[in-house]
Amino acid sequence: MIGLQRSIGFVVICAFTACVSVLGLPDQKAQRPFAHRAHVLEGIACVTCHEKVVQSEAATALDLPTSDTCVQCHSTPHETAPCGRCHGQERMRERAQAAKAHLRFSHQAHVDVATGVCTRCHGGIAAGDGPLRPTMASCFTCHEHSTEWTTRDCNACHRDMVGEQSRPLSHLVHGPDFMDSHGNAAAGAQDLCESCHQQSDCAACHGVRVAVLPNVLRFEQVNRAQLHRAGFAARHALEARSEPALCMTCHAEDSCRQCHRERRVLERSELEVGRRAHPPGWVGPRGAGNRHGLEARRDPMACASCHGGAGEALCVGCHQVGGPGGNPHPAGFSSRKPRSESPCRLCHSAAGAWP
Amino acid sequence: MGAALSRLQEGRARCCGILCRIWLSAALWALCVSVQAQADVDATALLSARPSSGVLVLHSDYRDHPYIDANVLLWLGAPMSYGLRDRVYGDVVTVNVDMGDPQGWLRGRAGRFILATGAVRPVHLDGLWLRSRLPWGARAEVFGGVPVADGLERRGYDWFVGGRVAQGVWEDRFQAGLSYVQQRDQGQVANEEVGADLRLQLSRRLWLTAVGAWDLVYRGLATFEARATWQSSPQGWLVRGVALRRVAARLLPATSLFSTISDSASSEVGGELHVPLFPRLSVGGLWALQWQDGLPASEYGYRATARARLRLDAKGAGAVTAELSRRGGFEAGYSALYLGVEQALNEQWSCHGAGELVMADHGDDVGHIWPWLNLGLRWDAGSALYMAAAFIARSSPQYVAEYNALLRVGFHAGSAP
Repeated sequence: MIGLQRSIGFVVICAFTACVSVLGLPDQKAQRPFAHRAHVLEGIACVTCHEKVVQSEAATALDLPTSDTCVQCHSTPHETAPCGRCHGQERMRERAQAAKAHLRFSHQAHVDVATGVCTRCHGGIAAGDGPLRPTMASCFTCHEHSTEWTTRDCNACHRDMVGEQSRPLSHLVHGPDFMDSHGNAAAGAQDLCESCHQQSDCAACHGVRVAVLPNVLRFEQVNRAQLHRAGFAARHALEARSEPALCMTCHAEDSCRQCHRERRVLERSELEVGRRAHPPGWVGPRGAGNRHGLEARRDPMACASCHGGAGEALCVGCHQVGGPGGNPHPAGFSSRKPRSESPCRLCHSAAGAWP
Repeated sequence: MGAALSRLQEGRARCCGILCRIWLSAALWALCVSVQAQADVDATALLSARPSSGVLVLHSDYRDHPYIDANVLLWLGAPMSYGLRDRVYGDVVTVNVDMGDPQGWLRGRAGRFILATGAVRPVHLDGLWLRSRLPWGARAEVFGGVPVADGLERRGYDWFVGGRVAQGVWEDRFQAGLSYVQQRDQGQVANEEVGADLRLQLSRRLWLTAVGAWDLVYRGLATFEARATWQSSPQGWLVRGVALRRVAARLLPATSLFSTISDSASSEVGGELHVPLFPRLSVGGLWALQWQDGLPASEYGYRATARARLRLDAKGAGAVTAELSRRGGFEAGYSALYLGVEQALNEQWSCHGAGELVMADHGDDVGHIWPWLNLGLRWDAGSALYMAAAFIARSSPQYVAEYNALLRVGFHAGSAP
C-alpha cells in the first residue's frame, strides 16, 4: 500500500515537473527579473549600468549592460557564466528588442524633458522588479496625440503596425473565435480596422472572385481559425442543413448546383445511388403529409440551389388565391415592391387579377 | 424598348471593358510605385497536384499614411476553387487608391474594393467611397458603384448606392450609426434597407456591439446581431454573449418567395469563453442554440466547440491545438475531433500536421466517418522567400479516398518585415 502511494506520489511529482515546463509556468530559480529596485534603493543611478542610454536613438541597439559592466561593482561573481543568464529574463529582453524595432522612439529626445528622472516613464520600478517598459498609457501622460488618435494615425509612434502585429486590446479583442464576430465588431470602427488591415485582407474572403480562400493558400497554418478547413467538403452538407442562411451570407443560391455539376456529384448520386431529389409525398394537398413547406423553411438553401430564380414561378403555381396552396401572404403582409416586379407580377398582373 | 435595353446593356459592357483596362493599368502602376518606393510586393504561387492546377497571387500595397494608400490584389492562372468556370484565367480582386488629408476630415477611395460599414453587408464594389469627419464626433459616409459579379465578362450590372452617418461621444466610447442602401436592377429597386449600428464601451473591460437592418421593400427585419464582451485584462479571460437573427429572404433575394409566403428566419443565441489557464495553455470554446421560424418548437439546432491550445515555446513558434466540436439538430448533425500541430525545427525549417475525424449522425450509404489529414513542411530562406509543401488526404461522402499535394512559393519585397 505504501509502495503504491509512493508510486502515485512519484508520478504526481513527475507530472507537475513536466507541467511546469510544458505549460510555461515561470521557473523562478532559472531566470528571475533583474533586481532593478534593489539597485535603485542602493542609490545607483540608471545610467551607471545603462551608460549609453542618453545617446540612444531609434536606430541604435538596445543598451543592456554586459557582465563586464556588472563586475565593475560585483568584483567577485559567484559563477563564471554570463550574469544575464540568470539575472534578467530572456523574454523581457526579447520584448524590449521588439519594441525598439517597431517604435519610433529616441531615449535621447526624452532625457532632457524627463530631466534625468527615468522613473518618470519607468514607473514600474516602484512596484518591484517586473517589466519596466512603459505602457502606452504612460506615453499619453505627456503626449496626448489627440489628432492622431482621432484620425487613427498610429504611424507617429508605431513604425509598422502591420508588421508589429499588435492588437488594439483595449478596444477590439481578437479572440480565438474572432472570425465569427469580426463583422459586428468592425461595423462602427472601420477606420480602426484600417489602421492595420488593408482592403486585400477583406477581399481575401469577401471578394466575389477570389482564386483561393486563405485556408487553402495558407495550408500550413493549422492552428489558426479558418473559414473552411480541409475537411469541410465532407461535412458541408450537414452544416448547411443544420444552420440555414449561414451559407447564404457569402454564397449565391446557385453555388451548390454549380459546384455539384462541376464535380459531377449530382449525376453520381443519382446514377449510382439512385437517389431522388424529393421523397414520395413531398407535395400534396393540405393536411396530407405534405412536408415540402416545412422543409423549405428548414433549409431554404437546399430548395434554392435547384429552384433559384425559377422558384417563384414553381411555388406560385400552387400558392395563389384559388390554388391548392391558398393565399401565399401571411397575415399582416405588407410590401412596397412594385407589382410589376418579380415575384409580385406572377400573380399581380398588369391587368390586376388581384389588386 | 428591347432595342433600347440592348443598347443600354451594350453601353454598360463597353464601360465595363474600359473600367477593366483602367483597373489593370492601375494595378501595374501601383506595382511599379510599390517597387520604386520600396513598399510591399507579395507574389505567391500555389500549385496543386489534384486537380493539377496553379495560381499566382500578386499583392502589392503602397502606404504613406494618412495621405495615400494603394492596394492591389490580383490572381492569374487556373482557378483552384470549385465553382469557377474554366475559361477564367485571372481576375482583379482589389485595386483601389485611398486619399485623405492628415487630419482625417475627408478621405476617399476609388476603384474595386470591399465596402463594409455599419449595418451594410460587405459588398464587392467598383465605385467610390467618401468619408468625412464632422465636428463634435460625427462622421458621414457616402458610397456608390456597381457590385462586382462574375469576373471580367460582360454582364448587366446593378447600381448600389448608400450612405451612413455616425455620432461618437465620450472619445468614441459610445458610437451609433445609421445607414441606408439601395440597389437597383434594370432601373428598378431590387433592395432597399436602413440599418443601425451601435458600439458601447461600458467600461474598460466591457463593451457591447449591435447591428440591425430593416428591409424597406418587404417591411421587415432583415438582420440583427448583438454581442456583449467582457475581458478581465488584455490577455485575460474573455466572455462573450451573442444573439443574432438571419432572414433568408434578405440573404437570398433571388428566391424572394420565401418572404412572400413567410419569413424563414433563423435565430441564434450563444456564448464564447476564452481562458488563458497558464502562460502557454489556453482553453475555451463556444456554444449556440438555434431555431427557425415556421418549424415546431421541438426542432432546434445547436453547435458547441471546446478548444485547447498549448504553445510549445515562449515565442509561439510552435503550438498544438485540440478541438472537439458537435453540431446537431434540424435532422442533421456530426461530431468532430481536430488536432493540429505546428513546430519550428530550426531557424529555417518548420513542420505542421493536422487531422480531423468527422463522425456524421446519419451517414446512410456514404459512411459515417470522414477523416482528413494534412502533413507538410515550410522553409524560410530569410525574410524574402519561402516555400511550403503539404500532402493532404481525406475521405468524404463523395470520395472514399482523395489525395492531393500542394506546393506554395512566396516572395516578399518591401519595407515591412
